[in-house]
Amino acid sequence: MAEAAIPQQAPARAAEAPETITSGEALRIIGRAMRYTFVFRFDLAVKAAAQMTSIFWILVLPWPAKVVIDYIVLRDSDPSATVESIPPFFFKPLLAMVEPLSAYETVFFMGALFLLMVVLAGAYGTDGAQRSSTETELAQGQDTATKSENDANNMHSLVGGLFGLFEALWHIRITHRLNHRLRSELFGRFNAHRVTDFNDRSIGDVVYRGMYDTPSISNIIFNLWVGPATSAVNLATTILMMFLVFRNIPVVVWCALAVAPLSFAGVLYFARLMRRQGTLAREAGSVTTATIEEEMANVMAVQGVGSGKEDHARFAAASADSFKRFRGVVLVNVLSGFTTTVIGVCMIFLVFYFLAPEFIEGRLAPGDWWVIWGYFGAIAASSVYLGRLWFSLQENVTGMRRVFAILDAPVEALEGDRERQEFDDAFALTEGVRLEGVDYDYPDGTRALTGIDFEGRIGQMVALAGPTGAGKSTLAYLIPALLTPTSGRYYLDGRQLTPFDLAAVRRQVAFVFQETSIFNDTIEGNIRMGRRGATDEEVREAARIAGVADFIDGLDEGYDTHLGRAGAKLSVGQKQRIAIARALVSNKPILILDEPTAALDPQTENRLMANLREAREGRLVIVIAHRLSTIRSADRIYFLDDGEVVESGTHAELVSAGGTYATFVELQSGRTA
Amino acid sequence: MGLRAFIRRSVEGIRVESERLREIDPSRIHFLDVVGVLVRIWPYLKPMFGHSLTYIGLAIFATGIGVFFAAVNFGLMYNNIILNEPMAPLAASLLFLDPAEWVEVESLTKAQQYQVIFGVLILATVSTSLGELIGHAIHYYRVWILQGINQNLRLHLMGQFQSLSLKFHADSRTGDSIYRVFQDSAMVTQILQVIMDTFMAGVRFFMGLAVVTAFSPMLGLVLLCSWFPLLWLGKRMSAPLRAGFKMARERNAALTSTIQESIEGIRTIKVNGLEGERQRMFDVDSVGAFAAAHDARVRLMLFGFFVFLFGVAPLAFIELRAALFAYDGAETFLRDFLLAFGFGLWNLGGQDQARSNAKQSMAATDGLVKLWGRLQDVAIGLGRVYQILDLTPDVHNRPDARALPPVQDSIRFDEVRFSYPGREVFTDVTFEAKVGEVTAILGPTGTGKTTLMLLLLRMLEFHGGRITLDGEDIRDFTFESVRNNIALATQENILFSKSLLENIRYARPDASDEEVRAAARVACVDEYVDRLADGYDTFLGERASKLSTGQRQRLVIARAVLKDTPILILDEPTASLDAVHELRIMNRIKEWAEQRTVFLITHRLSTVRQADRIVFLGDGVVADTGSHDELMARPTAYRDFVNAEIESVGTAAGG
Repeated sequence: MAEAAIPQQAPARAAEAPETITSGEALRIIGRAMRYTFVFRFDLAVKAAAQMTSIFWILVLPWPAKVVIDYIVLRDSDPSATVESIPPFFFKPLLAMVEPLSAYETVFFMGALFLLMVVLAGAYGTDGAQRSSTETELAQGQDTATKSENDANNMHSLVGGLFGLFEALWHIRITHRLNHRLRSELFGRFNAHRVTDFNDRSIGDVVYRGMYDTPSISNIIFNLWVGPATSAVNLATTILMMFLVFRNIPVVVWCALAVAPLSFAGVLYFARLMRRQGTLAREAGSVTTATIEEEMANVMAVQGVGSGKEDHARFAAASADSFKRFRGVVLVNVLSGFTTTVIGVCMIFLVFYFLAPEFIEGRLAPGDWWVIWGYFGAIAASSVYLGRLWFSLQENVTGMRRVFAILDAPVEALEGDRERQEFDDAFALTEGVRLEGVDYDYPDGTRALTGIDFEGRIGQMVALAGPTGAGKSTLAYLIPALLTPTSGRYYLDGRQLTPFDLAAVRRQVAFVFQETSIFNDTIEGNIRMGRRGATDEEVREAARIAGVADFIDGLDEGYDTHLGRAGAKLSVGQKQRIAIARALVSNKPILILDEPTAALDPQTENRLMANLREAREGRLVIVIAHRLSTIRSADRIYFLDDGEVVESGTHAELVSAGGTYATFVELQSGRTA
Repeated sequence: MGLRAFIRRSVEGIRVESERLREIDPSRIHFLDVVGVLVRIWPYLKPMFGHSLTYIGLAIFATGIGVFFAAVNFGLMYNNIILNEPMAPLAASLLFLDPAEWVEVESLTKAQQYQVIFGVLILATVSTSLGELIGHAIHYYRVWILQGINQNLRLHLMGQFQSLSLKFHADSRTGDSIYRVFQDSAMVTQILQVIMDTFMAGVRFFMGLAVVTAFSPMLGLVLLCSWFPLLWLGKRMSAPLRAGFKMARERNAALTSTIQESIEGIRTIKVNGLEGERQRMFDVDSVGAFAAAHDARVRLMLFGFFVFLFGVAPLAFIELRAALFAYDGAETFLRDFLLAFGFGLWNLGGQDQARSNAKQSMAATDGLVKLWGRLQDVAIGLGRVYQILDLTPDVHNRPDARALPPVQDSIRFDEVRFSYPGREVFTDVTFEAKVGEVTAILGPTGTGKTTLMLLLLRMLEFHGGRITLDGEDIRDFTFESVRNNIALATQENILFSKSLLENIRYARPDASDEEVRAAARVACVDEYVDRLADGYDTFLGERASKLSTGQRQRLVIARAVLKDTPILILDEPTASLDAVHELRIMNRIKEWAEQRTVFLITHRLSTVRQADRIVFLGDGVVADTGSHDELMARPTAYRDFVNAEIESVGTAAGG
């Protein structure tokens, strides 16, 4: 939160234009993702250890099977004598146990041993190949968003059985905690964005980042901690074994190892491509999400204004584009995969070229053939993994970049440091607010307000009037610091506000927006958003003052009525009055109403205004209105035009001054009377 | 139920005659229902069917090439390089070598063996460049095909969402719809995998079974019987698996909604200092979603654990029993037949053959049962899609519905009844609106003025009475054509994150720039466009917060005007406009709308005065109807309304 102090409003979008990510930036993103895992270092170490242990299971497997082959099938009485390689230490006790048993007894014994291994490690078989891994990959679609579901539940285990279950459960626990941490942090950042930051951002984009970009971290972490550690151990073990047995053909090891640098170099070019395609795919995905979101949220316009076919075509195009962009990712994967295959095949050719003469000349026995290829395969597999590591991180880097872009965007200093705050938590407004020489520019540089001087005192009702687009709402937004002045000063009770006092100033202001937000909750829950601690009586009193109590009482479920999507079951006027009740119940010193009566009939309005005039006792009420009846009852009127306060004073003063306001009054009353 | 009936039911789905979602009960879905879910993919697969077959053909071809060359090359490496045997005729002809020197000999010379190295490399190069190239390319092809199938389903689903009435949308959450379109519909891409895996598993199982039976019918029977515990397991676990997957999907959908709703209401959250509360809500939902996903996957893991255990037990039995057969030197079942392969008696090779074939069969079964486990998720995901597709929209066309011709004379509401769940709105609404007139709809807040217009637009379905257009029932016309005849300027200014020009053009995408500008002039949009940095190209962000409400309202009016329809509905068009603009816009609209029917919902007296006819709603009925002068002449609710307004303004002007 440190860098969030000075809210000079750089457009958040500029920081994340879709230019190609450089390798350096990718490296920084990966490094930063690493830091998130530091708290999980212990858990990750256990996971890595478990995964390395599974190598042990795989090594153990062939030995018990050998007993069956040698003792039973081949009726050999002393297998240890025929074993060409020396049996490992753990094999000897097993041989000792089987020694005194008859053939049938041995078979029963081995059967029991097999089942034990199946239960423990999910592995069994004479050739060690019959294994299960604890897999829980679910079906997924063919676009970035659906792939992310498996990423968010990433777990990985080479073995099955109880051991595999433990390993997978351990892993998914890390994945879930990590993902939750990241997306919770992201959500918190979005909540702390200034309202203007959402001007250029669609809700669908936020959903996409929260749901589908954050899981990118799972793979980065796994591939940086567990994967390389396991591969390194794997490599070391296999190379050691290889040198112990086949000291005279190092070319096999060198060729297998060479796969790593070669595939690294081979797919390096694709890393850049992947970053580009990955970014495009995610952007196209977020556009599709936004399209769905807008069409669902605005279904009334879609059905009532749009011509259904075009809406359908718009979605079809967005969806097709996101699929196409994802195919870009697939294409890069296919090309890089093919490159790796070619490199691997070339190395196999090379090994074969050097190895074949050894057999032709009889320097190696036929039995060594598959053993050598087996070791080669094991080393090469780890080499390919390590060589492709950089490349395979790139797609995830594009997701993390979209997450970090939000985490880095400037936010409001809601929990700014207490040292620099002017107002403490207990502050309650007693005198009033004052703006001096305030200018405000929109983030894109357009001037909205110029040289505003404004004062509102507790006990007053202040009206903001003026033509459409004069800047009335913008001025009102400055009061609860939803917008921060570009220049000028803002005082509460005569003390100047610092950028760290957002929480303090918001605690003073209740705001009824022109376009009200109703949440997917009950009526009661929606009203109580103003103040969670409000009693039932206070909620009902607020509803009464707002003129919505009769309506609520007439509903079957009364205050418990669930309002559904954005209050779609209510008329605009009802929504507005519920929002007013919400503001009233909050009982804050400043009450701002942005066109509270636009959707109300005159009787309701008159009643409401009378109630509000009462409510100004001990409060500052600021009203934005077009209706003369509302404006005239104010103690002070600020008349705005083109971003400036043209006139201010009481109704009587302004009418007698004969200025713009007087003309405005004449026009209204002249036409209606 | 016959197969034909089953397929028809599966493809067509179960129509639900209302917009209430049929709850998916994971415990009451049976095997056939899951198969039905897959059968129902057919309409979406059909357009891509040719490609799917081509893909399967190519996949088999690529695998075939790989297997063929691998066999030849292994022969060369093993038999000719390592063991120094004569070359197989096939390999020799592939390498254009003279059979006399290579095939019909006792053994190869060292020089020849060295040549074989190059032969292997040449064949491997051919097989790699062919097989791998095709193999990689068809992966891309497969993605393209699956995306096409997914796109077909997505479009159908979106179309259905768009045609469901407002009643449905009021009760559903936006995030849930996003999740259905994105995540749930994607499950359709499993269809190719299911078909191919099932087919391959069947082939592999029966091939393995045949070989094992040839060695010993008893072991074959064991292999066959191993199906029963696995089938039982599949049956026993599918309901819990489905329950887990259903919960995981619902929780994730809820989380999506939480994000969407929080950002939608961000200003209210901020000004009420509720960021902390929303964060806690989010955290609860996020943890809940992960917990559900965890639970579902643990169930799947345990399922996999038992499948492996149940599958491996008979396999171990077969292997060990075969080992004992070999120990005893027993004869194989098809002794004479197997003798040709050297397996007349059980020996090392025979035990190995029986074992590996049993293993192959069992792996196929395991794979199939595990596929069944994952399919439960597919069934739940697609079930959530079909849930929406199965709804019959409340508003739907009669079979003989036709297109609405332009209304010539009048629009009549006749004893129209309508209620929201738990709230009666209209008991008897009767009035008439004439073409060429402006009809104002008035009434206290919450009397259903907007609802009345939604009935005319057929975005909600009325429950009784009639709405007639030129004397004909509105339900005789297709609702699409009715909507195409009506333009609605909504009270809540609904704008999209597109440019200003595109937002106006939304109503009629083929409108020329000139027409857009003309509509903008009617709604006085042109007055403020010049002051914007990018003019008509100004990008309007989320909920167009760059514009003031009055500016947005004018934009919405321009959009309705651009649609250029015989009927125009203005819902509180001037609520956020100052008096000057209100007068100017109303005059321009009246001028523009000479031969049209205009409905005007308003509270403002100054606006009402522009109307030719006034319909005053009250308490579920039309309280008064007539012209301003008529209604003022006698004691009416309208007169009370006017007096209240004049009184307040009058004192204002005088005070």
